[in-house]
Order: sequence, then structure tokens, then C-alpha cells
Amino acid sequence: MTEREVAPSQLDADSLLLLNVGTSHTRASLVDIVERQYRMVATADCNTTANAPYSDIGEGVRAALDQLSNLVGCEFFDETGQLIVPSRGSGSGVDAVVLTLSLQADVRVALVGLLPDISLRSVRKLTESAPVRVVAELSLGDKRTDEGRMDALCQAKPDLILVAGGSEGGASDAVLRLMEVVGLSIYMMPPESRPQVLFMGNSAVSGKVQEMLKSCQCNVTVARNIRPSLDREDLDPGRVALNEMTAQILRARLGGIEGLLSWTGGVLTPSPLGLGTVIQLLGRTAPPKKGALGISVGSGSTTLAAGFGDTMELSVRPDLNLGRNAPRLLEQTAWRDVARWLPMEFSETALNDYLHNKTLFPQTVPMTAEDLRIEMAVVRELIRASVRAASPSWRVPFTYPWGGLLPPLACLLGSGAVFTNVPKPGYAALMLLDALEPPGVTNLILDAQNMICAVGAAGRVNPLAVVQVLDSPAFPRLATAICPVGKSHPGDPVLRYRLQYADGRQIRGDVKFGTIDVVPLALGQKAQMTIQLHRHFDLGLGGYGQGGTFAVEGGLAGLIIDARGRPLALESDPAKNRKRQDDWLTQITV
Amino acid sequence: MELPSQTHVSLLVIIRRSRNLPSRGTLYVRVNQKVSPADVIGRTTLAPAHYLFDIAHGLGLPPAKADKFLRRELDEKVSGGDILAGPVGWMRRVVRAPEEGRVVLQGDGRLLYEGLGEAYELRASLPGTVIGMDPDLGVTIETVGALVEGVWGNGRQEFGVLRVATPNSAGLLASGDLSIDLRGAIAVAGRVEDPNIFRSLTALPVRGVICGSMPSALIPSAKACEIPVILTEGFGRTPMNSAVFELFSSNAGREASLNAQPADPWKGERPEVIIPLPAVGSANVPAEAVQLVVGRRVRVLRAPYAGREGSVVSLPEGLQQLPNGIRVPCAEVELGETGLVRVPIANLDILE
Repeated sequence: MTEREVAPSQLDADSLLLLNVGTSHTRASLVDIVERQYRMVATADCNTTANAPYSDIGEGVRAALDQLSNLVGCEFFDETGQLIVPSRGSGSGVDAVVLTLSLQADVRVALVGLLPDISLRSVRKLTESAPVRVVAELSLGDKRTDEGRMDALCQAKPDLILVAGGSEGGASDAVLRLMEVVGLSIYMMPPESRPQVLFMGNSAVSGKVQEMLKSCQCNVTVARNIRPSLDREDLDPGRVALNEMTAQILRARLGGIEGLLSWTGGVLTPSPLGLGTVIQLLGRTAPPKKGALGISVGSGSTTLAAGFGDTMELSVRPDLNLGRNAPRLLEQTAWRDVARWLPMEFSETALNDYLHNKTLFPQTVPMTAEDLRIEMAVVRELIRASVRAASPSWRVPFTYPWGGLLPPLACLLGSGAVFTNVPKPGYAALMLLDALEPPGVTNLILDAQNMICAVGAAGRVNPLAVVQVLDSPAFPRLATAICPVGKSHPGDPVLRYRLQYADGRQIRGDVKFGTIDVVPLALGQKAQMTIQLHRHFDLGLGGYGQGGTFAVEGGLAGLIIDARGRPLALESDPAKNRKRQDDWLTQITV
Repeated sequence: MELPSQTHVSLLVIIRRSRNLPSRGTLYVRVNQKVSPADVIGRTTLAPAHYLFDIAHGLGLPPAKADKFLRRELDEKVSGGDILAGPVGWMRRVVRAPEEGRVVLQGDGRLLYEGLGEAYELRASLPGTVIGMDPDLGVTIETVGALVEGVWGNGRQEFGVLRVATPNSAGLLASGDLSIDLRGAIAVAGRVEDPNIFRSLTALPVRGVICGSMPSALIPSAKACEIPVILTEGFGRTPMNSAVFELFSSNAGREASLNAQPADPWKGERPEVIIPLPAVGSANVPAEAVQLVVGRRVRVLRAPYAGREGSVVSLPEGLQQLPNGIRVPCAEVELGETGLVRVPIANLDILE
């Protein structure tokens, strides 16, 4: 990302403390002015202490803050142990605190809609944008009696019921009839475990629904109709409401959170919304006909955010993670699809054992080279499964010529310890390239401190800080990736390039099909790239065979020319493919 | 800062365990009462069926009029076949209760009825004394003994005599090796791999199995079998760690309570084996949230030393490089014959 100079007068010189409580780790970052720019000064982390025996997330936060205090040489707490807000002239304390929550706590939701193929489908889609688990579905089309629906709802013990149904000016009696069943079910549940309700149906009956459920002491939130007409779906308001309600449910379960909320004025941001905010910003500022994509892989969930123009798409998959649900990857992906990324033979049994052990010990890190390759293979397939499910419904406001591939991306951001805990940056770049196969020219960005969600959430406090921190070393460019779309035979020419550095030096090279070429271009170093493209390949510069000259910037892994073709075709012979996997890792980390 | 996980492998401690009903019900014990593992200490009902009656339609009356014929009070307990509303007219039309249950709501010509549901009995599952109660919901039982926490369990509970079924902590227990001595006992084995092992053990019958590891492919059969199964190390071919195997070996012949409950990190629940022992000397409650310090006994959770036990020799400052090139906080651990190795702190489990 480019540096952006801002005059000091434009700066609202408030320091920010960013806190992110994740499933395994709690992180704290200090954002402050350094040389007239907001910078992430330091980040510290500690294990999350939500689980027994601590059962208090505040302990993990305080431990992280103690570390942060040692790193930056600044006191955060006063003599009485209270966080110092706002900061004092002595440099102690902070001016604002932002708290995001990305830990998973099995929030159970029941879905209620009038018609299975319309409102129920929309509300099901909505659940993919929040860390929740669907435990029951009810609709007028499910052929159960009202009693059957009540039993299903009572036995599912949901924390939250999402209701949709009735377009604007459409069905209202049927919605009320269904809500009566919901209300009776809630009435039957013990008062201490009654769920909240999010109503996103026909607005004409929302008042009656609230009235109806009031007698059950049920908290009803109303959001804009998710299906205002039969042919229109409006997920955005429901998505925000769902994430906020999920955070409220977690809030009620988490020990120690109230103390943290007293620092933030009661504001708690669900981390998917934080990621979504950043990706929406990057999508808006992307060049025409390009978007932005962010992927966060953790032991709690895989979260995907895509921004194209003004649209933002969010997909949260708690069922696809590197923790307690790791084996569920094999419900979405064949084991051979995971094994194909490995340079060694690996059996289905061994993969199953590996994934089940991840459920037991999600916090562990790979120690051997073989273990690391397995983890990287699993990450690729987690991302692929997540994208496969989410991308068909993305609203892309421009056309692009490459069917079956992602839309062209200006930047692709990877977040999670799986990308930062690697021996060399090339490992992270290879995972992103293999998993997402970005076409054309894409900037790969690394969330080096794993704080992207908290940075996004900071937008409500200090938008300028967000923009500047995104331009800072906390989000270094991994590489500029040049990925021609097309197919050929191994060894055939794909492109010829000439890289002209700012000092006038030049490098020239030919890149053959089936290889990855890393051109030396250091982090932040700028150059002009001229490409002559073979007629079988397209880079989005005007069509197949059309090359051109454009500005590039180096990253931690240099400048990558991925000439393996798009869609990426792996060797069908397992032995050859295993060797190819090793070759590619060697080539990208050279 | 890494806080390693912790597993209790304790020779003699005070153990307090909650035993709760899944929903409110009736408890049959009181504070200070002694209980045995098989004692039923509470009952409740699960998954009651619901019935929504259109009384007005059933009686052939307008709703307002039908309400005058409702025969039961709210929350009144009713037997199956009892009249809920009516009789009306010369045909003496009535609405009857479909099963034993209670009236939940009634009015406007309608009635919501809840059946009794499936009976559920809560057992003490360990010997001890009731030291606390949550009215209608559960009790806390205290006992003294050895405690071993596992990493995976199939959700069942049992009580029986411990028998060690393999010669060492890496020993494999196969269907063909089952001895008659194991009948009615809890079998301890280094590991299992045989797909038929749980069927054979259930047929013998044994009362439970504790093993170091098993292939994850055996999860369905372990979950389906009627006896509790507890793993102490994980999935694959990891032997039982030596500290745990020695504890079981030294307590062979004693009775043990197996609670193969699934691990729930939020509640701090793990599958566990409790071996009640006479309270000789001073037993303490197990230490929680202990810090990783030099000399601490640990086991390694991940390859290449998975399941190996040792003690922490040093805690180097800063990040250390692993053989695969990753740099993370590490501890130096003495692993017996293997010698001194560097292990990520995140891959250590403190044995306390």
C-alpha cells in the first residue's frame, strides 16, 4: 500500500487501544502518531482466558496489556488498577478503546420463514455472515403440524430465532400465524433460557409481532425486511443486526467482558463486521473493474469478506476452522483434495487423525516440516470450501471475462496465525495463490499483527487512523502477484518481462508455464513492469496476448509471477504432483 | 505470552464435581448425604410433546362460549384420557388429554397442553458426600482420590475395578488378546486399533475402556458402544503417557469412576477417571491455572514427540526457531531417552 502524507493539522492526535479477543489468542495493539502518521506502534498477545479455569476474558486482556506496556514503555493502568482513559500528558493511558470479539461460543439459531425457497432461503443465507450454528428450521412449507413445529423449536434450544416472511405489502396473516407458533414455543421454554428474536419480515406486522412476543418476555429486534419483494433480497441491515445480537449473546456468556465494555462505552464490535468494514473500504478505493477480498482463518472460523464497488459480502463459517470443527472440512471437501497440496504421500486415515487432533489441541503449532505442509494444505481447502459456497451469490457490479475464477482483485488480504506463523513470507503467498487463484495482477497483503478486525472496528472512533494504519507496516504487502489466465503445457512460454527499477536498472526474463518466478523487488520498492504475453494468456490488460507496462511495488516475498495458469491445473500423476508441490514452494521462497 | 493447557494427573486430591439435571426436576438427596456411584440422585423429563387443541372446534362452540367448559386450571397435572373441556350437548362432546401432562395455556377457545416427556434419571456416578445443592437442578459431590483427565470421551459413565490390559503404555489391545480377567472391569490399554475392539469388549463384558489413543476412524463405533471410552492422548497411534499409565498400574484392582463426558472448554469439563482412595494425610483440591516454570512436569501434544512426558529445563527468552523454520516461544524439555528438546510452549500440556 502507498504511504499517504497528511498534514499535522488534519490529525486528530488521539491514541487508540485495539483489543481483539479470539478463540485462542487475545491481542492488544496501540495505535498512535509516529512521524505525523497513525501507526500500529506495537502488538502483544496472550492466550484467551474465556475457558475454565479462568472463565474471564479480562485476565487475558490484562496480560496482553502488561506485555504491551513493556513493549512501548507506557503505563495503561493507574495505581488503582483502572485503565487510564483519556491519556495523560505523561504519555500514560490511551484516548479510546476498541474491542472486537472473534471467539466462537456456539450461538444456536433457529430459522423461521414463510416459504422454504424464498424467505427461509434468504435467512439461511444471512446466517452465513455471522458465527452462528443453525439448529432448527421452520416454515409453512415443512409439512409439520403446529405442534410439531413447537416441539422442534423447543428441543432445538436456540439462543436466537431469525424470522423472515411476507414481502412489503404482501402476506401478513400467515406471518402472524407462524409467529404465534414461535411465541407459544418461547412461552414453553424456561424463562432463563428464552431466545431473542430478530424479525426481518413484512414491516406491516412488525408491531404486532413485538406485541405478541412481549407477553413471553422475549426480546424482539426488528430489522428491515430481508425480502422486500419476491425478486429482491436485502441482507445488509439483517447482517449488522445479526452480528450485533450474536455479540450480545456472547456478552452474556463471557466472564469479565463488562469490565472491558466499561472502557469502550459499552461498544462491542463483532469481528466479521470489522473485517467487512476494511474490505468494503478497499473495494471502494480499488481501480475500476476490480475488487478486494479478505480472508481470515482461525481456530474459531473462516471468515471471508469481499468488496466490489459499494457492495460488501460477508461469509462466516464456524464449521470451517482449524479448531474444534476441523474434521468438518471433509464434509465439504474430499480428502484427496487436501492431500493434493502435499509433497509426500498421506493417507485418509492420517488426515482424519490429524484433523481430529486439531479439535483437541487447536492452539498447537506445527513443529516439523511435514506437519507444517499438512496445516498449509488444510488451510488451502478451508479457504476454497468457503469461497466455493460464498462466491456464487456475490454482487459484482462489473463483468469480467474469466468464468469459474474470482473477479479481478486489486488486493487480497490474508489474516490469521496460519499466514504469519510461517518460516518465510512465500509460504503465506503460496497459500493465498493456491487457495484463491486470483487472476490478473493482485496485491497480496498480510495482516502481520492479526488485528484487521479491530482496525476495521476502529473506523467508528477514528476513520483516519484506520486509513493510515492500513498503509503502515502492520499490513505489509506480501507481494504483487502477476497471474496470467490461460492454459498451456509445462515448459511452454507464458510471458516475457522487463522490470525497470527506479534507479534505471533493468531485469529481463522469460517465464515458462507451470512455474512460479519471483523477481527481486524489496518491500516498498517501486518499479515499472513491461510484459509481453503469449497469445494463450490474458492478464486483464486488454485480452488474450495483450501485454503492457504498469507500475508495481515489491513485497515481503518480492514480485511473484505465477505462471501455473488459471484455473490452476495440478498434475494428475500423484508422484509428479508431489514433486511439483515441492518445486513451487522452493520457487516462491527462493 | 503462552499459557499452556493443563491436565490433572493427580495421585491424591479432593475432587468436587457437579451433577446436574438437563432441565429442572426433582432431587432426592440432601447436603451431607453420602452417595454411591449408582445412586439415583434426581429425576426430570426430557423432550415433552406439545398439543394445541382447538377446544371451540372440538366442542362445536364459539370460542368465548367454549372457554366456559374448560375443566382444568393452568399448570394442573392431568392423567392421559382425563377430560380437559366439556361435556357439551346431548352427545356430551369432550376434549381429553392425550397423555399424562399439564395444561400450559388456555383461553379464546384454545388450549396448549404439554405431555410428560421421557423420564431421565441422574446418577451420582462417583462415591462421595453431597456438599452443595442447586434446588431442582443439581448437586455438588465431594470425594478424595486419584484424578486423571482424558482428552476425548464417548459420553458414557460407569464404575468398576481397574485392570491393566497391556504390558506397557504403548501396548496394543486387540480383540484376540482379551482375557477373562477383564470381565466386569475397566480395561486400561496403551492404545487400540482393531475395528472390532469395542464390540468384543462390550460382549465380554467390560465396564469401560481407558486407552492412550485410537484411530479417529473408530469414533463411530466408540460412540455407539454402551460402555464408556476415554482417550488420554488423542487420535492416531500415540501411546498412553507414562505418568498416566503408571498411575493406573499402581491402582489396578481398585474401583474407579469413569465419566467419558465430551470435553467442554467453556465449562472446564473433560472426560475423567476418578479413583476413590482413603483420605490418608492431607489432600488438597487440584491446582488450577498453574504457570509454566522450570521443573514443571509436562507432556508434548504434537509430533514429533506427541504423548512424550518430561520436565521443563529452561524457558528461553523470545522466539525460538523450530526445525521447520517457524519462530515461536519455546521451552526446553528433558524427554527421558530422547534427551533435551525444544518444544513450542503452545504444544505443551502441564501435568499437575
